[in-house]
Amino acid sequence: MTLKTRISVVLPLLLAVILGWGCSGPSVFLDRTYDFGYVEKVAVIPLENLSQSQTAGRQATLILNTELLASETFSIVEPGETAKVLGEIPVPTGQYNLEQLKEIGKRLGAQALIFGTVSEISSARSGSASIPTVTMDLRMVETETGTTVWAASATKGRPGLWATLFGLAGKSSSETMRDCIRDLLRTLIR
Amino acid sequence: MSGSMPGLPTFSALRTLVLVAVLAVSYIGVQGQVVSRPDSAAPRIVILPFQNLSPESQARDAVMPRIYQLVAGLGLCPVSADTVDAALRRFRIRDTGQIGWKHAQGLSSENGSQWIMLGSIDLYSSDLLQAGISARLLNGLTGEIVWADSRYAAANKAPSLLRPNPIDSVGPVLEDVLQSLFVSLEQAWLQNRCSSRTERAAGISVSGRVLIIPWENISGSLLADQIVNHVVLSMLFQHGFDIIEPGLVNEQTRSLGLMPQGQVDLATLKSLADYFAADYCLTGSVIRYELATLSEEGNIPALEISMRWLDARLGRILGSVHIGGSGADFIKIFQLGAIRSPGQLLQRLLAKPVMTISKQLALRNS
Repeated sequence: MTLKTRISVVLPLLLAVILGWGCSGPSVFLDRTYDFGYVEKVAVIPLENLSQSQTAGRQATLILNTELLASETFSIVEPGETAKVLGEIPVPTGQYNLEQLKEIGKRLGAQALIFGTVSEISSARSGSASIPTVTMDLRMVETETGTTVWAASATKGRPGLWATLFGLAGKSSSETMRDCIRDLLRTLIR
Repeated sequence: MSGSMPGLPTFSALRTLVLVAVLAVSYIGVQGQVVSRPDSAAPRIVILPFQNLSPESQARDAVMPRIYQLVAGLGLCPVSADTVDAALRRFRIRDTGQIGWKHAQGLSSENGSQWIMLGSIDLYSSDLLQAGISARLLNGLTGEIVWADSRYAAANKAPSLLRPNPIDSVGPVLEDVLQSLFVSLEQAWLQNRCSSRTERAAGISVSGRVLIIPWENISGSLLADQIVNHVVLSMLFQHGFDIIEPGLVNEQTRSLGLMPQGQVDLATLKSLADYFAADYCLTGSVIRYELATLSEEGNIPALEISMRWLDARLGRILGSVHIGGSGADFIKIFQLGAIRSPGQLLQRLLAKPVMTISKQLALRNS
């Protein structure tokens, strides 16, 4: 193997290791038969929070709203209106049935609802640096049929190569959460 | 064993005494700048005790006398603090950071004063020396805000390369803030003697009528929402928006049996928009408001807020922004540029979004 060949093999591998260390892409389900052009307005249902942080769910909901608006793909129902409608529809089991989804969609004028969960938000030490890790999942449910047309799950913020080797501080937990949401939305909005 | 020695003043009391003394000295130093004593024909003004948003329990006692002096220096005639206190008790006004319609009219007519000044104090005199004052002037007869501004300044106690002598009191910082605030009042309003938003200072175009729904606070820092509320109000006003007095909004939402925070349902929003003839609604959430996170650069504040603005009549979200950052983000080199005051950081972080709102809505109006 010549030196040139070695470089051409080793260099891309090295770059892939450096750039990809600590990263994993989202797991995605996308209903390719569904016409997403039909969805003009979506309502974000306050995200469930399974993490230790008391405010992570609310924080993620706020970021998600802003990121969806920033994508300029859908109109978003004012969260106050969503909260009001959800408060008026009793959900004894904690899960919405089809009739409830239809009712919510009708009253909010939304073709789809976005549900999600913050599963983890933690800080890992890497040398002297603190690296936040966020795990989230999001899904879009069509209000007419109750079908999940998109779902994605991702973890963001594991210590990268630089943090592992040099103890460099990464992003804040908020920035990591925003990156995680952006990664997830990128699988829906291209 | 805890507690202070009998007969000796506590540390807190001593600190307040020092603060008052420094303010008095500062006042003597700047007395020459005070224009004149008010005459009997001067417009009367009711000054409500500013809302104390700082951990310094005596901050209001230290700041209010100086505010009275500065107001008098502008040629206005402040109604005496004792008279105002009595009226506050009689009207049962507890929250002086905002004022409702009935109370504004009552205070104005009772004291023969068209103008009401109110505001908030955000003062720190421990490790961080920060002085922040937000103030606004209200036409008590119409409930209209005719001037609003927020000023923040901070200094480090420790000596630095540029300032070799350490600062041991917040007094000079506070005096700077008050002086700049009253210069703003004089320039923006008093010089024009205007009473209507359409006659506001030349060069400021009116961009729309905005109602602010009280902010939600999930930061864990008590009163952070109110600090942000005051600062956002002032910044929007300075960008030419006509802001509806938060006390009036509060009064109206209470009459509807509601206390919205950070979000609002469309029926309530429409009702408020119709009542106040509001064009836009602004609200948001304070997610993080940390006064001092210990970093490599020392004590540095960190903030995170989410803000959105809506068409008040349609309930459509027109814009949304999620911003966060720490004082260390502004370091250029060797800690130069670091922001150590949460108030200043808030103003820096909000500057761009407020500019964006201003441009977007101005375009929309045209």
